[in-house]
This record gives sequence, structure tokens and C-alpha cells, in this order.
Amino acid sequence: MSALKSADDFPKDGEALNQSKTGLLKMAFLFVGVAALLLFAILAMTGGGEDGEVSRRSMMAYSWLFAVMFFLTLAVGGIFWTLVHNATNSGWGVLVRRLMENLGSVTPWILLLGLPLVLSSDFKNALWEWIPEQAALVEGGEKYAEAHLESEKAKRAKELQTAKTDFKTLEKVTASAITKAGKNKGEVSFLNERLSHSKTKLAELEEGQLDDKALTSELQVHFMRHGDGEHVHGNPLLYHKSGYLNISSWTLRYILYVLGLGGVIYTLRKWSVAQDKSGDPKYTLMMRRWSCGFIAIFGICWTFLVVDWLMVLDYTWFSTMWGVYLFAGSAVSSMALLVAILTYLRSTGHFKDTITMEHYHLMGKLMHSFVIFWAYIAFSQYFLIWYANITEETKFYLLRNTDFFNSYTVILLVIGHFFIPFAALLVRQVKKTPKLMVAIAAWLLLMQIADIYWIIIPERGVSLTGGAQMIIPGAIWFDLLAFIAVGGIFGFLLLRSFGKSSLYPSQDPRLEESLNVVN
Amino acid sequence: MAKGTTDSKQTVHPSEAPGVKREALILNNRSMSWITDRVCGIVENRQPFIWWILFVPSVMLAACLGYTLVYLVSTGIGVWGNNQPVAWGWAIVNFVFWIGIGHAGTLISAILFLTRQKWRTSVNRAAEAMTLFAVVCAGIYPGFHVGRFWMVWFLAPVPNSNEIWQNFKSPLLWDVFAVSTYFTVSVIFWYIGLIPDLATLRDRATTKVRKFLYGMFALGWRGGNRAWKHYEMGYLLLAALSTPLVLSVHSVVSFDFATSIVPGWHTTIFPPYFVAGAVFGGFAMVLTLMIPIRSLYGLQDMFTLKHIDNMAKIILLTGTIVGYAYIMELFMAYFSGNKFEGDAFYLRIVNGPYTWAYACMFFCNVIAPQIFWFDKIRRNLVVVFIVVMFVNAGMWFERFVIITTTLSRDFLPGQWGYYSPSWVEWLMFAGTFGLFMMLFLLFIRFLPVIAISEVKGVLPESDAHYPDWQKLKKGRVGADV
Amino acid sequence: MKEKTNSKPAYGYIAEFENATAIYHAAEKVRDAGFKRWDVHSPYPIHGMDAAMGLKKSWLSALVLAGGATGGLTALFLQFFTQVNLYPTVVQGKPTDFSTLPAFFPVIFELTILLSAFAVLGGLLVILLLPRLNHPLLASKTFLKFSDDGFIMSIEARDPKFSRERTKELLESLGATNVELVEDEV
Repeated sequence: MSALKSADDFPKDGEALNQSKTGLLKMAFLFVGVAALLLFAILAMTGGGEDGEVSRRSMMAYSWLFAVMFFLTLAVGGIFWTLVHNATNSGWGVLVRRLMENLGSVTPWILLLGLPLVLSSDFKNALWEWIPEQAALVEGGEKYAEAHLESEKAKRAKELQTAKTDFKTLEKVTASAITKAGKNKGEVSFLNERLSHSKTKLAELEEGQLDDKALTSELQVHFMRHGDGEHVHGNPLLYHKSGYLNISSWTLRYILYVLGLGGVIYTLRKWSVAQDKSGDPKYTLMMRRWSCGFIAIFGICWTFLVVDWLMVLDYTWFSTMWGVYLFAGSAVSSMALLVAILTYLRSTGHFKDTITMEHYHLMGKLMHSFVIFWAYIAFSQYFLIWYANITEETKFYLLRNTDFFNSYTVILLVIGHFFIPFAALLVRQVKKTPKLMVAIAAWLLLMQIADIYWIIIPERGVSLTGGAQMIIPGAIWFDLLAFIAVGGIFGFLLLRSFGKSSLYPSQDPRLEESLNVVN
Repeated sequence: MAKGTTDSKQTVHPSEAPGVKREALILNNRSMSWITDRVCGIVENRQPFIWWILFVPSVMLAACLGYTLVYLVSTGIGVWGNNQPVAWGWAIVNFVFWIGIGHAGTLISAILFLTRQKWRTSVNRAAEAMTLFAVVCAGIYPGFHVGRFWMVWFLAPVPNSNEIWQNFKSPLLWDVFAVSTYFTVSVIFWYIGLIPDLATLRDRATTKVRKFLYGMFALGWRGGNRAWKHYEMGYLLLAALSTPLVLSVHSVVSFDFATSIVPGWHTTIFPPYFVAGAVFGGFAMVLTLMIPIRSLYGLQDMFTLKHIDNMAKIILLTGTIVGYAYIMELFMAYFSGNKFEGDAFYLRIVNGPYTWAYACMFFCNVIAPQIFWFDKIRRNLVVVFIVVMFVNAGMWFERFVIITTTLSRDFLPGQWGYYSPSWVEWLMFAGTFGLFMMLFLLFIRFLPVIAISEVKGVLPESDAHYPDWQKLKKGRVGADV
Repeated sequence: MKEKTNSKPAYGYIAEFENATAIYHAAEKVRDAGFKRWDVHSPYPIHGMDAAMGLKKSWLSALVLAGGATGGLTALFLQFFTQVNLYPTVVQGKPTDFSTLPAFFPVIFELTILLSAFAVLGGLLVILLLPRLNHPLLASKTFLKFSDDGFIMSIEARDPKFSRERTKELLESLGATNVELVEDEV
């Protein structure tokens, strides 16, 4: 065993990215990404389609959601690992923490790439049926209210009039009947009760004499729940959900996700970079303290983000595990990406004396444990829905476990996302061999693509063709194009963020622990 | 004076700054032989008077448990208060409660071992012991809930003359496998961890009986590093096996509920939610036991405020995860638009026979631990003790809420009922606490309550490269050189 | 050879060292000297000692993998045999064929873990040749310090490199504070 490495032997300003070696790749990413983005935009803009057929634009909406969502899981994983590193007071990971922070810092940009999904109504309508359906209900409700306002008003007024007359008659009848009943207490109380009952009814009818505005909204609600009673059906379920699922709060939540996730990683990265200059240990304390609280923001944002974008692809489906499931996949795949990035940077001459195989080993262990965690969550979710066998829940799997997607599920996700990486990472030597680790990391990233694809794309055929086709032939090329577009921009942003500061937190007080880590 | 302090603050090396510097796990530079003496002393010396004060009532309570069990078997399961519609009453509440507590031990041992959390060494032994005793208490309930206790062997897949086989598709059978596997593996894990410490007790033994008994169970351990190599591998493997095992056991317990179509039970987040809850409750119970023990037996230097601080943090984390699950359940009950699911939660929270239980649960499990956000509170023993008591109660209420509120309001309003436990259930529940305490006190009496060899391993000078670290840190202000 | 003498054959030397660092560096020297039958006894496993002693990685994990596989396959067989062949019953609408596999998973998992854990315990006892209730080393008062705070190296007389004089010299030159000859039990 050689002597320990001292932090004093390493340059105070850390290690800068070698631009001459990585610049080309960065620009290639940018060029390819922007070119694909332009092509995608042109294809989407011109792909309006005619009535009655599935438009190209609506197919491409799914492609875009898939690409954005996949890279979002990677970037968000970067935030997660940064938070965990800080909150657990970790020492070993100091050298790789900047990689996590840089990966996380791409998150707000990827979320902004999701803007077309939020802004373009064609995209929205193609992806999330609740949006057009709700709009139709609202519109129909307005018309219904307009058409029925006067007649309803008249009807209610007439009802009240009749009730008033009836009540007066009843009052008289009751008065005479009570005198007749005399000392028959039961009879008297019955008569009184009857009277008070119809008095309440009268009061109710009086309350129902609403002004135009209130009556309109009541009619609208009635329409949304029950339809017009003739041609149009209402949608009580969608009406029930409209407290959460309505376009204004949905958009507001998107802004909150950008602010929440972006704010968390921006703050943490800012402190971390500031420490590179001053070496002040107060930043370490700040990052630790705030990360604990940030975990809550992160958890809430991520959970509802995947509810808003993925779970409501079929708004009638629901699962309480959904947020955890997407989080598990995100954590494992972003750790895989970190391993890949680390190896790339090492191959271009960085991290020469700093990173050892011990770091690979530790990252491999984390990857391994989250492969298991993903499998645990995925199995539990599938298993409980399969076992209880309730139609409204099983539809998610029914759609994804039939035809083409069935073999895809079993072979790729069960075997590929769990058994193969699980078995490979069991061996200690594998975790200490960068080449093998990169191979496994690449495989896991592929599996994450498969997972996200499997979540989003089966909805496309069913939603757009009304169930006539499971798969729309040819649409896969748009998926590929979207993937290249977002991926290129993602790669560019990532490499750019590496160039902005030292590759590792050079003045972190725990640097020595990480340099000398043995496990 | 004030000037002097600011000066020294400025010159402290960043890696030794307060908050950054790693806190010592063993205080006051205690030596290895001090650790041996202090821990073995508990077993070798007379027990303090308070031990007897606790032990005698525990035995009496445990006897009550025995009495109620005899009464139950001889009279019939009807002596319990559960009936239609609440077919699962306290028996299952208490089963899940105890088995949940039984998760902290293996968690501390296994997961914290895998994540190289060195502070676990001071707590893992007691936590593992607690695990075993909690599982024993838990096992009593389903065992006797089968009704005809002497037919309990029907649970095991053995060929029988009726040629009937168990239904392996039933969550209740999975429970049998999960809990018995958990108990067995926990015993193995605990025992393997005990071997080096039993050797220590053997080598210190002064009487023949002790020498023989500890010697027999120490299996002739000689602490050679050739043996340690395999031992460490074995321990690592057991930790790696126990971690998914812990997850699986409480997940299977959650399957008992979640595979059904009962509103309030069938929800996909149940497995991780139950696991987090179990860890939460288990850590609370460990703290409940360890806070008195550390001051009673003078273990403050080994079981420090740092340990309590860490465990309080885990309680805060898991409590918040449990809170997340509560909120997700509520959100999905609303979002799904499922009438029955919504009603189940309406009955739990707003207007039902057991809303008080839900309020207790939510306060104890989610709100009370939030006080652990404050650094000072986590190191205030009185407050920590009060909060963990809340958590203990809260986790019991959680199971009560899940089971009783849901069952008392069936799909058919005509079947609605109210459940209240009978005196037998009360006495049995108290009795399991007696049994638990009795076993734990016996454990303190006869076995080392702290893992001696593991604690020695985390002393700074135990590292063969200790001098190198010393050299590295030499001259740095604030370093312990 | 079986004549009765007062002096029993030697088991080997034990040497006490001051601390973990001292015995760690001594072990490196003994390893390089080419000894095979020797050991380092310490109150806790010393990190990195495997390399210092030149030990290979433990093969217990292979044994445990076999144990786990046995457990998993047993459970799979048990459940298929009883649920599909011997006593097929449709419960909760679950079929009685291969597609019921998810329902069998919990028991498969539990038995895998159970038999793996048995393999750990059994494997450890077999590899370490335990339980052993008596051992020549346990007769030495100096040796018994290993379970308290002693760092003790033992070199067996059976080692081909062992020699009463030179081995003692070697140990002393490595900084042992106390070298003692331990007798074998006969």
C-alpha cells in the first residue's frame, strides 16, 4: 500500500475540461441535435393531415414526449444523486459529485424542450385525451347552458309557483285537520311533519331560483356529468378529476416543476462551484442542510410531473406507485450515464491520478442496488394489479402485454432490465473493470429507453386510431428523429456544463476521503 | 478571549471545520480493552437492581400471555372480539405491528453494513436481538389465529393422507414462508455476528460453566485472518441476502392486504410503504430500548449522541416517506374517481367510527417526527424519547386504521359493524410486551449487548494505515494528531 | 516415535505485536519470506490484511450461489408440482398453468434466500473446520489476548520453512514484543 494522497498535492483550481479533445464532440452533438430538431419541427409543422386520418403531427407528439421524457429521467437522476450525496454526508463521492451536478443542471433545459408539449394544442390534444375531451365538454356545456337557460329558468319559476300554491292549500288543510284530530298526538305530529317537509321543499326551490350566472354554471356542470340527455354523453369521471386535471392548473404545475427542479439543482451547483474558489467549508454545511429539505421538493415535483405527463396518457388509469416506479428507473439509468461519462472523460485524459477502480466499484454497487430496487418496484406494481384483476387498472398492462409489446415486455424489461445486469454486477471484478462497466451502463441506458418507450408508445396507436391499430407503421422514424434531436442537444448541454467549472470540487474539505477511498 | 476564538476559527483547516470533521464514533479515546471490559462486564457482573424491577413484571406479563393462550385454545377463537365484518382484529394488527418492529434489526445490520455506515456497530447487536424477539411475538398471532392451533402443521407443504396441497397462490401462505425464512435467516445472521464476541466471553470466563457454555457456542473461534476472510465474506453475503429479505417480508405482509380488492387495501404503493413504515417503527423501538440501556450500563462512549442523531434522521426520513405514501393514497383515492376508494378514506378521515385513530396515526407518524429537523432536538434525549414513543404508538395505529376502519365498513351497508377488542386481546397484547421485555432482559444478562469485535474495528487506530492518516493531517489546525 | 517424553512436539510460534499497523507490516514480510502455514489473529478483521498476507478471495460466494439456486429451483418445482400436477385449483381466478408464475414468485424468492443463508452458515463451518472445541493455541495465555486487544501472529511448525531458531529470529526482527513457543496437544 502506498502512502495516502494529500489534497494539497492537487491543484487548487481542480481540473479543467480539455476543450481540444472534447470540443469536437460537443459541436457534433450540437450540430446533429439542431439539425434533427429543425427537421422534426418542419415535419411537424407541415404534418397537419386531413380530417379523418391520423396526422403526422399527432404521431410526432408521442415521439417528442418519448424523447424528452427519456432524457429528463437521466437529468433528474443527476439531481437525485447530488441530493443523496449531500444529504448523506458522503465522502467517497466528492470526486464524482460535479458530474452529478452537471448532469442535474441539464434538467431545466430538457424541461424547456418539453415546451412544445405544453404550448402546441395539436400536440396536447394528440397525447392527452382529457384535454380535448374536457374542452369539448366545456364548450358543449356552454352551448347547453345557453340553449337551456331560459327554459330552465321558466321551469324552475313555474315549479316554485306551483309549490307555493300547493303549500298554501296544505297549510289550510293541515290547520283544519289538526283541529279535527284533537288529542290524537300521533296524528298531529304527522300533520306537522308533513307541513314542515313541504316547507323545506319550498325553501329548496326558492334557493334554486338562481341568477343567470349561477344557473349557467349549474347547467354546465350538469352537462359535463350527465350530457344533454339526448345525443351527447357526459363524462362524470373527467368532471370528478377536473379539480386536478384542468388546463390552467396543469400548465401552472409545469412552471412549478421547472422552477422547483431547476431551482434545487441551480442552488446546489452554485454553492458547489463557489467552494472551488474560496474553499470555505460553510458551503459543505449549506449543501448538506438544504439538500435534506430539497429532497421533499424533488420528490413532490417528480411524482406529479410523471403523473401529469405519463400517467394521464390514459386519464382513467391510476397507480399510487407510479412516481416511485419512474424514479427507480431514473436513478439507475442516470448512474449508468455517470459511469459512461466518467469513462469517457478518463479516456480523454482527465481524472488521471484521482479516480481509481474503487470509485467504479462503488458506482457499480449503487447501480446494482438500484437495478434491484427498480425490479422490486416494477414487480410489485405489476403483481398487485395482476392479482387484484380490476379492469380499470389492468388496462395499462393489457395494452402493453399484448401483441408486439408482450414479447418486448417480457424479454427486454424483465430479462434485460433486471436479470442480465443483476447477474453481471454480482461479480466484484466486473465492477472494477471500466470497460465492462461501460458495457453494462450502455445496456442499462438502452433498457431505460425501452422502458420509457413501453410506457408511452403503446398509447399512440390506440389513442390515435381509436383502437383500430396497436402500432402505427412508420411512426418509429419520428421517434428516432426526436431522440436524436433531444439527445444531441442534451449531449451538447452536458459537455458545455463540464467546461464551465472544474471537473471535480477541487476545494471540497472531504476531497481526501474520496481520493483515498477503499472499500 | 473573543478575539482568540475568532482567530482559531479562521485558521482551522477546512477538513477539520465543525460540521465537516467526522465525529468520533467512540468517545474519549477508549481503548480496545476498555471496550471489552465494559461490554463483557454487563454479562459478568451482577445486574443492577432496576434490571430486577423490570424483569419480574415482564415475567408476570409473559405468564399472562401464556394464560390467555391456554384459555384461547381451550375455549375457542371466539374469546377474541373479532367477528363479521371485522374478521381481522387485533390479532393481525399486532402481528403486523410486531413484525414491523422486527425489521429494524436486520436493516441496521444489513443495509447499513452494505452502505458502510460504521456507526451501525454500536447498535446492531441489540437491534438484531430485538428483531428476533419481536418476530417471536409476531408469530404467536397468526399461529393462534388459525383457530385450531394443533392443525397448524397444515401450513407446511408435507404430503398428507387427504392428498390436499396448500394454495401457493395465497398471500397468507407466502406469509408463512416469508416470516419463517426471516426468522431463520435473522437467527443465523445474529449468531454469526455473535461468534467472535462469544470467543471473547469464553477467553475471559472464570467459571467452568461459563467457559464450557460460551466455549461451545464460540465454536473454537481463534480470530485468524484466514478465518476472518471467510467470515467477512459470509457476513457480507448474509447482509446482501438479508436486505432484499427485509424488503420482501414486509412486502409480502403488505400483499396480504394489497392483493385483495378491498378499498383502502388495494393500492400499488403498499409494498414500499409498508417497508418504510416497518423501518420507521423498528428504529423507534431500538431507540426506546437503547436510550435507557446506554445510561443504565454506562455505554455513553460507545452509543453516543451521534448514534442517536443518525437514528433520529432515519426516523425523520422514513416518517416522511410514510407521509408521502399517505398523501399518495389520498390523492389517488380522489384522482381515481373510484367511489369505494374515496369512501374508504372519507370514513377514515372525515366521518367514520375510527377517525380518532387516523388522527392519532397521522400526528404520531408524520407530524411528530418533523421536529427532528432541528439539530439540537435530535441530541436531546428527553425529546427523542418522547417522539419515539409517539412513533411506536403511531405505527400501531397505522395498522389499526388500515385493518379495522376498512373492515368495519363493508361494501354492503347492512354488514357494517363496530369492533372493540375483548379483555383477552388486551391481556394478550400486554403479554407480548412482557414476553418481549423478558427476552430482551435475558439477552442483556447473558450476551454482549454491543458487538465488541465490530466496535473495535471502527476505532481509528484499528486501521493499519492509521499512521499514514496521522502523517497526512499533521500540522492541520483542529486535527486530532 | 511414540515414546513418552515430557516435552510435547511444538505446534509453532506465536508472536505478539503492538498494534494493527505493526502486525500488518510484519505480515507483509512473513508473506514475502514464503511461509504458508501461518496466520494473524486479531480482535477484529484488519482491513487490507488479505493482501498483506497474500490471501486469495474467499470462495464462499460460489457455494452460496449454488445454495441459492437449489432453493429457487426447489421452490419452483414444489409449487409447479403441487399446483399444476397434483392439486390444481382455480383460486382468485388465477389459472393453473405456467401463466400463474408471478404468484409463485414470493415463495421462490424466500426459499432462495433461505437456502443461501444455510449455505453461508454451513459453508463457513466447513471451510473454517469449525466447530472445534479445543486447539493448541487456546492453551496459551498470551494467545487469548487476541479476543481482547492483542495482535498475534502464529507460525506453525508444520510449515516447511519453519525452524526453531530462524523463525524466532525473524519474528523478533519484525518487532514482535513477545515470542512464545506453543506446544501441540497430543
